Amino acid sequence: MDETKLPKLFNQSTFSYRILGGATVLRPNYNGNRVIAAGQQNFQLLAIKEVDGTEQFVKEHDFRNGFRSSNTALQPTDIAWNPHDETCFASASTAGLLNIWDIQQPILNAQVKIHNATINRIQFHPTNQKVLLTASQDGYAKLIDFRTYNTNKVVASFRHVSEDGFRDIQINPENPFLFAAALNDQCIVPLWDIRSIQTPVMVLTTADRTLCLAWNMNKPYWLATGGRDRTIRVWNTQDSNVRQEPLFKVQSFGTVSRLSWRPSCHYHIACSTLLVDPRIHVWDVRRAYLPYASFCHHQNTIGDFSWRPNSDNLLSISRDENLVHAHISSAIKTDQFAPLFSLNATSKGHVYSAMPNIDNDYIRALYSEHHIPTSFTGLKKCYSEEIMSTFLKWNKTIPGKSIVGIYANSSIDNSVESFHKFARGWTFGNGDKSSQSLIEICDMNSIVAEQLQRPDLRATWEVIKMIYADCDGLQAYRMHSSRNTPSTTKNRHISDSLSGHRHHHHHHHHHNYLQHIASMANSTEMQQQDNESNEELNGRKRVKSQDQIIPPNSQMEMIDDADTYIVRDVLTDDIIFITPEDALNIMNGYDMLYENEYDIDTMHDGMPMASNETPSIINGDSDMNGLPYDRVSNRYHDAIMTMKENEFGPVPDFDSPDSAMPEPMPHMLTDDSDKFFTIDESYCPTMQNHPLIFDDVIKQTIWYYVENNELQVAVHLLLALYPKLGDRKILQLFSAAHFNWIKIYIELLQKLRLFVKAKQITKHCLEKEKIPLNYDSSDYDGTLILAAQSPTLKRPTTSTIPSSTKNPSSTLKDFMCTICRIPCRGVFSFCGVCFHGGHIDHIRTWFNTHDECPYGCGHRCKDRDTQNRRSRGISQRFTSKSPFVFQQ
Amino acid sequence: MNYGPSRAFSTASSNGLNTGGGDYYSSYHNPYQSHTKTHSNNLYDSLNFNNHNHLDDIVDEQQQIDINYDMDDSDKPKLLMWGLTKSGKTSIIKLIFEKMTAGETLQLPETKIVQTHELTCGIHVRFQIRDVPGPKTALSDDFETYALESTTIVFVLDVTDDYSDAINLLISSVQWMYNNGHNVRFEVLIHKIDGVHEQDRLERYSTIQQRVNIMLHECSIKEPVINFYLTSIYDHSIHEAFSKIVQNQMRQLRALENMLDLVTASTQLDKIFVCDIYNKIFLASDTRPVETQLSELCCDVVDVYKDISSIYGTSNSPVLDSMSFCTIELSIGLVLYLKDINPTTALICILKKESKINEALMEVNLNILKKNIQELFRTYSNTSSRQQLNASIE
Repeated sequence: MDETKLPKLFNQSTFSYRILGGATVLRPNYNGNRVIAAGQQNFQLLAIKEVDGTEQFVKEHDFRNGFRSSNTALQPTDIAWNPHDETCFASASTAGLLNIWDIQQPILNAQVKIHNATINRIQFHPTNQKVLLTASQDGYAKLIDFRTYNTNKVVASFRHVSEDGFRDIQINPENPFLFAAALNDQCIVPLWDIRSIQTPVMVLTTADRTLCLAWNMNKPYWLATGGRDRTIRVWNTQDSNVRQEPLFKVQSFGTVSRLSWRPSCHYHIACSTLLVDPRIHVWDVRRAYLPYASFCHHQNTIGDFSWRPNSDNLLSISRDENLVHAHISSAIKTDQFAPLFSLNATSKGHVYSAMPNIDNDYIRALYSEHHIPTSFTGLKKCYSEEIMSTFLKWNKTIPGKSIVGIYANSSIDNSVESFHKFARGWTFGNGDKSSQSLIEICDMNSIVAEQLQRPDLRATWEVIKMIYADCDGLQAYRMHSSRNTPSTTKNRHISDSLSGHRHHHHHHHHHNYLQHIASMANSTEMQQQDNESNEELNGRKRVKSQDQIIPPNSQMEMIDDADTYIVRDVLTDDIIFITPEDALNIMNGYDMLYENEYDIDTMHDGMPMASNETPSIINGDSDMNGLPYDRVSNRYHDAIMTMKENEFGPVPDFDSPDSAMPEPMPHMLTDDSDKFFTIDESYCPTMQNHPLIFDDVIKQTIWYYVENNELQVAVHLLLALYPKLGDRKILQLFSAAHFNWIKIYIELLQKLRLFVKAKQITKHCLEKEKIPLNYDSSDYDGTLILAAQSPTLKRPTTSTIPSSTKNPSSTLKDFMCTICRIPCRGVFSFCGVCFHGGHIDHIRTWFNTHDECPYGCGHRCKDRDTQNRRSRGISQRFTSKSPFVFQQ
Repeated sequence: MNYGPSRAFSTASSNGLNTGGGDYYSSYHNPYQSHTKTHSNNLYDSLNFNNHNHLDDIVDEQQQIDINYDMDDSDKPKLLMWGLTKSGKTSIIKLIFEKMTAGETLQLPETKIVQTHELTCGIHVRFQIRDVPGPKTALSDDFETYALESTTIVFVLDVTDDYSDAINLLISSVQWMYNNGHNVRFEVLIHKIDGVHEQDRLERYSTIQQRVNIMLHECSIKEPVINFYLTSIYDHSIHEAFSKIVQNQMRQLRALENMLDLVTASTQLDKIFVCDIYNKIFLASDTRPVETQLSELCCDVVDVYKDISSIYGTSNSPVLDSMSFCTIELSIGLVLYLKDINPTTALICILKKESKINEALMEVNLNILKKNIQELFRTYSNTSSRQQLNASIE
């Protein structure tokens, strides 16, 4: 290595160069000071030079200028630098030609026809500069030796039994006789010995077609393969077992099109994908679910990339026509944006928490990252045993409180038809106390509500199901909802409340599960909440826009990984978390020394500040809302980066004594490879059960419906929940008012000629639930229904409608029009309170000019809305604007 | 051995000529010209030309080519389906080339007699498939008779069964071919993989592959050409595998691939397939790696195109004509573009939706490509028929 060039390796600047489109090959030379970008419209030699104190690309030569004649030579499919002669490189062409170039002249030195089809990959032999290996689409890999006098210089050709084309080859850096090959349509990776062309010395079986492979520089027997099944596999090629499992498996975001090991860390591998993803991810193979870093410098599919030799700089070209040189510090490290602490409460009272283990290496690394001496007590206290154990032992009851439910349901159908339909459709179970039957009731009823265009009622039923249904169902729902939550919430126009409240030092934010409960709030309050939640949404958007770290698809990937539920919880619906303020509050005795802004902010950084997706940063108690996350993250991100580089010193070559690097890299920037932790190691997930009490919520919900003329809903909720709550609790909650509601409902059903339903409910109440209704079984005989009449309901005249269940036809004849005194047939209308009415036309004409009942009973049927709305008001339901229409 | 393929086929073509094309089995619903000749071991029965359909100019034109082309029968690739009884040989052919659904193939009876299918992919790629009964029902020399003149043996291996018998049969077949001096290509379909648990599939695959390779090595067969595929009639895999098998029969493949490569690179397309729209066999694609989903998407494009054109096209025009094209934009930012080459073959391009798509360039390039592909096939058929003529004169 040229000593004078070494300082350049420390350059971490990001710079780019405009190239023409369609570049698919990018090869830096072995010194890292020259690079060739080539492709359909490109064949340029660029130097990386320092100009005016900054490094940049300088064009040295464009090969397409000189050679107009031979077209195919100028559209290379691959480039290989000669490792021993830095003026020499080879290029391959679609026609199977191998070209040798000299960059000093620059001229085409030699051209040899090797293959009959496209050459996909060429590589110089690492130790012998006259030997070169080619891999072609025509099914052959050939070893070329320029010392022979053959016309085509081929000394050996390799063919797989399937005769499939070679997609990629690479010679092992340690054992130059061994090379691995990726074949076009085969699920296998054969490894050949250059000295024996017969059969591969070893065959690895991958799950799907392999497109690319890479030998690890530092662990020479590690081979990474990537292909169509979106998985990067790392194999141990010393293990001759044919059925071996890969050492590491990393699920990438798309079909892996190119792999390259990071020169300075043998666990890190960079990968680019076909078509979908414009980023280059650097994966730590030990952590398969979250990239270590992501280079996001391009806007379009990556054409090719390569690490600049012996550095942490990555060179990449893309379809967006840019050649970019970037240091790994400019890549985005996703894990730094994941909150350290994360808690999650479910409606069943499970509290999940994920937090760093006290006193593990990660915490210590964090300390040093933030220049906090380990003696610093404040942070230590935060992670201290007592606090951890208080949290773990904390088992108080959490009262469910979150209440919202804003439905702009302007078109509530108050008609009798819908009452009929609901009465017929809704079920109330058979007294079975199991939660399964409750689930069925809720499902059934929510479907009915959906069909009758009452999404608000449907939501109520679903929430009831969520709250009281059993754990398994809930778990299943959670799994499901964690993927779909955003959309469903949006669709229903429900916003969650800001009812976060403190206990101990945690903020609770009951998010998805309670949000559908009906609101107690009057309209202004609703309005307020609405505003607040709008703000909240905006805030969420704001955070999202700042956060280009985790794209939606990576999110999905992580969720899909069944093994990483911790990550899933951290990222998707972390609801409760510790704010820095809280953390500071409890650090009563912390040193004055650190009571300045810098350190507080540092701690912000260590705290869960920005989660990448969702609502986790919404914080009920306002104090956190004022904190500009972007400021914190941007400012200290950089600071941390630079600190870290200095902090950790050179990497000890901890487990590769047989390092294949030609010389050690003393000046290399270190990476924190030995400070790397998977989330599994550093976090201790805990799960606790707390009893959650929803009685209050239910009480309010049912009262809400009673007061808003939805007695039907209230009674059905009550009946469905009866087995779950039990007599005593219901009595306690509603202080016997519910008996009245049920009775009124039964009566209503009878009035509306739903006798069967009325009897079903009566029977259900009496026999299944032992609800003491104030009449005995003889009351079923419809004629005596007046005995059970609610005292609050005024009924001046005896209605003719419910008078006889035995002869319904007679009742029809009996209904006389109050205006023309002729019995009504077909459709007629009557007032729901005084039960006077008649032919629709007559009644309509009458009410055009009058407000009072045409019969003369004195009831002001028309302006009922102005009367005591908040009392019982069941009959309001029928009055809406005019007497309702009744179909006979 | 009395059966002479050239004789058999000259009869077939003369038959077609005599009836003035009226008997020619060719319709838009079934334009792959599957002349099914049923014949037992040493004699062949009547030829089954069972359809009488209207013809129009295109079919006439097509027939002209057919006539020219039918002459070089010996030159035509011949595939032999081989494998144990009830391993699914006939099902595969019926599914791909006769539009039988996967469920229907379950009811197929055991094949008792040798069936020869004359198949066409596109117009110009033609080959014969011989469907031989399994070794239990076949006469002892069935395999030997047909194997010698085959260019490729498609070996179907039922993976749900105990496959050691099948492997033995495969090895003995390879050995027999090798001993008789024919080093033909073996394409092994590890079939009915849908019956195997997802996790076990790969293990089966590598076990079979390893056992075969070891046994072949023991038999000291050098440089065998043998290729393995995991297939199932319930998904796309059988089409994919058969595409590959057909591609291996085409001498034009490399030229085609090169052409497609040049066009993808110069037009900034992501992928081009040349696809027979009736049996959804990919005749060629450019050599860039492709995701499985994309090739399945292409099959879907073909389906969509066929459905729409059968609904809205006029009844007497073919599904594809010289003006046919179809563009489908997907929400994931890809554009699928279908364009005709000839009445049964289409180009399907996949490109990313970008602002700078140069439509004019694309159109020009694809038209040139279309012309060149037609040219390529025509040259090949002409040269081969000329060779055939020369051969017959000699």
